[in-house]
Amino acid sequence: MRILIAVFGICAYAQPALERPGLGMIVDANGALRPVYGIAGSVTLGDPIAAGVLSTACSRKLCLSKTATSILWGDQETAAPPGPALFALDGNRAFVYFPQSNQLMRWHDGVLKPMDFDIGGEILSLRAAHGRVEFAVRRDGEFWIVRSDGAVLGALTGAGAPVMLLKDGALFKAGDALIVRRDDGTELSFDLTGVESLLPMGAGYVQVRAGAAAYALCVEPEREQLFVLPEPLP
Amino acid sequence: MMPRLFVALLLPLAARAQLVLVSVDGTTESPVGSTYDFASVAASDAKDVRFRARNTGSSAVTVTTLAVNGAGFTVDRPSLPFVIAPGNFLGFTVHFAVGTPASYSAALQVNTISVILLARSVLAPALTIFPACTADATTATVNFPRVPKGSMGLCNLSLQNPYSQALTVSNLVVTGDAAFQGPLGVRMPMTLQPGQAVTFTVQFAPVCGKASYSGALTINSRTYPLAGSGFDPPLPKPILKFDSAGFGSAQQRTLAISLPTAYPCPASGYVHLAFTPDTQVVTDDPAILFVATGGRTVPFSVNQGDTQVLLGSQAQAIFQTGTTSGALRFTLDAVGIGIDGAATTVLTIPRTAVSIGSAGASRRVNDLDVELIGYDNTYTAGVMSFTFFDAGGNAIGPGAIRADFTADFRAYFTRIQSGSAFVMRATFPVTGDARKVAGVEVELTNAAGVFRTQRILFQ
Repeated sequence: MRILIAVFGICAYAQPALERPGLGMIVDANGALRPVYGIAGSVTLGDPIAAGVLSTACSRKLCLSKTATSILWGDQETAAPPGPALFALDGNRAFVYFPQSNQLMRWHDGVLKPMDFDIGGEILSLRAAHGRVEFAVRRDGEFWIVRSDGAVLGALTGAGAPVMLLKDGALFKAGDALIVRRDDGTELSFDLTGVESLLPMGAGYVQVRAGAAAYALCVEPEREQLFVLPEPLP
Repeated sequence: MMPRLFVALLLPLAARAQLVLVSVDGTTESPVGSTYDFASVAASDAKDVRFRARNTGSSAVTVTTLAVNGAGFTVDRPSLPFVIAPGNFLGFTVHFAVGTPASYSAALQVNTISVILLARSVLAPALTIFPACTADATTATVNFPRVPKGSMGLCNLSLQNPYSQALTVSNLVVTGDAAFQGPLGVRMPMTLQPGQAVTFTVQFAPVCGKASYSGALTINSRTYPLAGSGFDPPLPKPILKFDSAGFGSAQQRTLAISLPTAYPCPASGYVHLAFTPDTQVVTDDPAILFVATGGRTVPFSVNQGDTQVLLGSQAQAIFQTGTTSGALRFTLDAVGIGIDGAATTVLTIPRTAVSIGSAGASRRVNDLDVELIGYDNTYTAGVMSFTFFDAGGNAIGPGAIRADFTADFRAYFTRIQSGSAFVMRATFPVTGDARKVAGVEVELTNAAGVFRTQRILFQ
């Protein structure tokens, strides 16, 4: 069967939509949530859109931020257990873990519903996989990937904290390096001293804070790139 | 009768005990005994000494006598009688000036206080000050020319005996700020024969953190004030080093700065980054910035005696080149001291073909969506062609579909004024089974060339 691309339709429908590219959201050193505009290596920070943010996670579809007592989404907020949170975004839903109260909840449209889980050790990261949630945990100095029922899915050999589970692997600190390890066993290493935190920015980027500087790491396969994020103007 | 006589004898004693004579040097009072020595005074010079008759008693004292009797001495005093309230004083100045070398004395009388004043008029060598130092005709101050801090200035001087008899110089010293050192080139004591002259040098080396200096050059009994000033020399023309050559858009590069020679004092200032785009579509590119500050300026500092220029306390500063072709200008502003030479370095960001960093394609029932993320640092993009392929790798008719989105891009760039980065989403209606379309290649043309994507597979 012949495929016809409607030539006339190009003028009528292929009118391009042009937008300013964005890399997602970051939490700056002052705890303000800011959009990041531009492309890799050439970015600017937008004005703060929320203050007092402890943790955040963004994807193309959803951006959730945790303040001391609530979860921010868009221009709305949902009351939440105190302290920071770990997020696993799953489309327009999310799994949320509250380390301070050791609670796991399902978030959807501003509603939090508690979930049962049986995880030993310190939970460092979450990811959604096939509608379920998986965890990176530290047990006796070793790092594991486990399911909510406690089943071990794999080991993160050589990993150190912080750890972030990616959809197809994991990102973690290892000495003075930041390692992207894919599920197929391949690894990429970036020299970076003093990695302290990893936050998903959205659009395939992770915010890395190391000392006084913040970096953006593209974790999309074959597009991996680490660059410095500008500090906000005073 | 006896008691009254006793009272009458005591009254003058009590009045005298209230009056104390002191000499005054600046704000310091020193008690004066039965003699006061003006010391040696160069012939033809004069010397003034300030005195105070201070009333230390609890009742007023009237000064009726204040006189100096002796050759070469005169007194400058208020008119008498003069009443000094308790705790107050009467100030006066004794002036000594003679032309003939000899020893002199005089009697100073203040009411009942008597003091013998002594002075010696001595021969003094003539001092000549050579350029670039100058002499103040009024104060006899020797002025040094301004000297850069960290450097040394010299003053050449000579002593000459203008008299017909030999003259001994026993005292030739430099005092005051340690920036003044000397004299160099002479040994004390020395005898100058009639008409003989010797030259010597005084050094002046100003230090960091201080601008004005004072000292004194004493030659026998004569003292010449010394004055000098130091200034921060301009910063030697900095050497700007970039991490490598080959500048382009969407880069993060590092700048390091050093000095060709060590700078003698701590210095600080700012490195400013300015940008002039090649295009007139935008006036600036906000992504061109120093990442450490998020702006166009980064502070710099130089430690004393160092050649390393620290940028925001770091050895180097990362900056972004943005997504616009044009000229990046790095300008150093050394606050208050200036720079010896051109303070600006220009980097050129060349025009390049459109760059696409991310491309995606997806299909719907009757539509194909293509998304491209990239930049066009010439701001002339818009001409494109799309070639669709089936699963066998064959181009699907009618072949390359050409389109000109130049006006759309121009409107977008003009509207956002935020560099040339863009996300472009184009939708193509399809008649037939869209699932048979496996991939697309896009060719984007701008003023600098043509960029062709790899084949983008539909998801």
